[in-house]
Amino acid sequence: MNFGQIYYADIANGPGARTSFFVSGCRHHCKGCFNAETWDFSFGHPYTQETEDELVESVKPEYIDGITILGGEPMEPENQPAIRKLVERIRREVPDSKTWIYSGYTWEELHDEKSVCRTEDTDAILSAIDVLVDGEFHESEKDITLNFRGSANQRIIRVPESLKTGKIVLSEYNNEGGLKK
Amino acid sequence: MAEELTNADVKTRVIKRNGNEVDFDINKIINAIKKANNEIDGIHQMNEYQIVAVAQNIAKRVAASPHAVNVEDIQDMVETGIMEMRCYEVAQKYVRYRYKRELSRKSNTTDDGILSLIDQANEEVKQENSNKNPVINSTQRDYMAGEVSKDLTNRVLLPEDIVRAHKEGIIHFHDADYFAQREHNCDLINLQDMLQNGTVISETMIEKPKSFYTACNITTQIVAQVASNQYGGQSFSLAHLAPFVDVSRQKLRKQVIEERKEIGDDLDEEKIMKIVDHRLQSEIESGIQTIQYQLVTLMTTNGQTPFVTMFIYLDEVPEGQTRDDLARLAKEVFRQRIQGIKNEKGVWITPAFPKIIYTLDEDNIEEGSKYYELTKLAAKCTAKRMVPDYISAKIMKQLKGDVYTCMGCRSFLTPDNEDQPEGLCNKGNKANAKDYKEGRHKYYGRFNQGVVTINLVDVACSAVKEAKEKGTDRFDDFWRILDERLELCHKALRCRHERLLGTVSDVAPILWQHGALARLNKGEKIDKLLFGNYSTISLGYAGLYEMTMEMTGKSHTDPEAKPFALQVMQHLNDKCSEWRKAENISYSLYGTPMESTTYKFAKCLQKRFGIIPHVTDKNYITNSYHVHVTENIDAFHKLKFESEFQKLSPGGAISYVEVPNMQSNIPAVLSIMKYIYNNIMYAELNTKSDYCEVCGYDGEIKIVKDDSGKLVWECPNCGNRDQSKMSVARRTCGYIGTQFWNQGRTQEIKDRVLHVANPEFSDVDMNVNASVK
Repeated sequence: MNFGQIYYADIANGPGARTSFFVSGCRHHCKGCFNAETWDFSFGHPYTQETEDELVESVKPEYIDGITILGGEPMEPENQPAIRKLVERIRREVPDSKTWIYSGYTWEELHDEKSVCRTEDTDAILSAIDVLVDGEFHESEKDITLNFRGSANQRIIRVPESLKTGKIVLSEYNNEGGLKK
Repeated sequence: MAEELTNADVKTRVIKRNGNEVDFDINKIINAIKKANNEIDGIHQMNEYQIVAVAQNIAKRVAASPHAVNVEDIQDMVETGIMEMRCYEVAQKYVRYRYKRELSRKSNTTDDGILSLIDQANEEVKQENSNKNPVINSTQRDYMAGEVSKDLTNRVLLPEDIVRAHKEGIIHFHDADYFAQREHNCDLINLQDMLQNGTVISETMIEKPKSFYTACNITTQIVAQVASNQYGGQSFSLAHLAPFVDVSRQKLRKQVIEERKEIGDDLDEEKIMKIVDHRLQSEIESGIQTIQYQLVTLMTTNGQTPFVTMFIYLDEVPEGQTRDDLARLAKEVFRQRIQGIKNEKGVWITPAFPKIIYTLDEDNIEEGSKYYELTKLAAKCTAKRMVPDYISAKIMKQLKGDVYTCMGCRSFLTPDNEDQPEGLCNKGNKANAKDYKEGRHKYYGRFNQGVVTINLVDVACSAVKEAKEKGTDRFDDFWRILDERLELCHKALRCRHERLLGTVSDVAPILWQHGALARLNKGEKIDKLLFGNYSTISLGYAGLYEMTMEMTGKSHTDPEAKPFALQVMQHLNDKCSEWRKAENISYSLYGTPMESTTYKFAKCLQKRFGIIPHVTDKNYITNSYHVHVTENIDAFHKLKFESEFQKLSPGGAISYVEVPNMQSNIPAVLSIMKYIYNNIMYAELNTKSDYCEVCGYDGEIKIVKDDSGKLVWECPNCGNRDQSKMSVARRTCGYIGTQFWNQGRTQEIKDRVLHVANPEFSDVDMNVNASVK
């Protein structure tokens, strides 16, 4: 897996101050994508054990709320093994930290056995994260005043609650912002 | 006679006394001769023909000159020309007239400054203070006084070596425009004493107010009076107003009971208190609103709204009803500040004053603590309006032993305790305060005498230059030059102190006689308050970053360079202690929050040393110990790093972090606040919350380049670029401005590195602050 950038103490991709990790490779090719150069799986820097250690270390301080993984597409099948290792390790070593993933694949697609994004790692990833922001970016529904999402179709999903109840539980952040409503 | 020359024939230019080049004008010569001519008896007068002939001769000589001609040379030609006509009487008058003009020019050194001020052409004044609008008549009056004061300061009041060092930008003698009068800098006003025990405003007795609303009203009167009698800022504590909430509550209760009795209603206590509380709430709202609106609309005799800070510290009042009332007041202050005030176009904007400082303590910073909800509201207020700033009670107790606010201008008093050489600073109540309690540490009523700032960058550049020229060790040179410059600062500070010595209380009754600072007798001198620990005097410093760069080639954030920077700070502190010991005056080291002086220093440095990369290559130098604005560092690491330096800046200093719009991420604001609580004494967040009237967008309005390359503000949501339809607030050099800025300053604002989203790699920009995911 390759990645484009890591931001420390980021405040734009989830509540609190967070580490933002932008992986490379994406097949959605949404119109109006803000990071089109990251569609290429070989974009940026190779992801190594050292990178993983650094990411885990970065979420340890009390003032960092957690990590947000975005991209690119963290849930492309090629990226899932590395993502699984990372989120499981964070859950184990920094249990208080909250992990967010932004994916162009929807909650339903990630659970659909016939879907291209479904791999042997998918369930493990979902059970180790706190929030999934799902769905492709729709330029027609773009609204820069929405909180933590780019277009109105995207959903901020509370993952543990959704897994437990078997239906999608939306986060309260879903109701924030949105001048165009 | 040969053909006459007209002005257009004379291509040679004339150099005026102020250096300006202008076109030659023959009429000026004719008029000058006529003026002299008219003053003598008709019999000796020149005729029209003679006058024109003299002027024509001069025009020909000027036209023939290969270079521009000095106005003095032309006057010599006039003299000779008249003599050649044998009109000696006229010549004599002309010479006398010329001499008289020269004399008056020499004796009146403020003419240019004042006239250019009135014509709004005085650039220096225009850029000096963002809180003063030099176009307004009353502000101009203050500036005219300032020009006279500066002139007296430079010619009469200050020794020549200080004036020279100030002009060369080696040191900065602050507030020379207020040096002629006997005024001090800034203070913490003893509002408690004035409200509880009465005061006098403009020879009118003001007794203890009988309601909260009246107390608020009096407070604004006091603030206005105090601001007009000093040149620096002032702080007052909201805690001093808190007891009046219960005064109103009891008063309202009596009224409600009487009203109900009168109409025969029941006297159910629960009902009564419900009505009372309802009325009390509306009184609190009116009172807080009075303070906010009065303080931003008042104009002091200094030509600006009062530079005032409201301090909020819950533990300043006893636990129970009063503390709950104080929290209630604070809540109302935040609520109203979040709303903002309307500008003349009716747009809600961020007011610059009063500044608000909120104290973080164990009863309000931890989730679930008693006043945590208030802290959350403070966070929202900071995200929206840049204030409050934050003081950590925890760190302040470690550093100072007590918790107290800065004096408007970020100057901090030295702590009051028994360990001071003379014991408590108000021992025996030398200030004669009516709220004096033996053994209590005193802060309200104390003040700062003034500031002189050393330009550390100049010390470093001078040392490096000298070492190069003489082949000496630059560090040896550095410490020697530093000590020379510090002695200069010391001498200048002594001038400040001595200017105040002998001041009688009558110059500012509100301050010295009626409780704001003391209650001295009429005619009594303030001298005893200038010694010991009662008041402070500040050695300011600027440019620690650039100094370290020049001396070590590295930023002071580099672990190899940091010890040197800290060593310099320690040395400055040691000097203050040394002077204090010798003179019993409380010298204290101060991270000066410079405004225009940072540009002046930068200009002087370029003039003296040329452009040195990372040292003199910007048009500003970095204030105090701050990390350079372009350095990539996240908020937490910046605060942690700077806390070590703030510790060594006991006379005051503030750390800041530059962040984007954070209104949609209050948890992150709270994370930073909690980090401040645990790590640094005093810090602020430069947030960005703007408003576009066209689309209602409430976030950061961005600076973009228009087609002609000019920087303009643009709403990222709807593309609106009309400045009259948006509200933008930015902190520039410590002050909140909302009036938009010139291109230079706009560029500087655009260049600021945010202290969030610190990238691991500099090669890609993931557009992280676009908040579009």
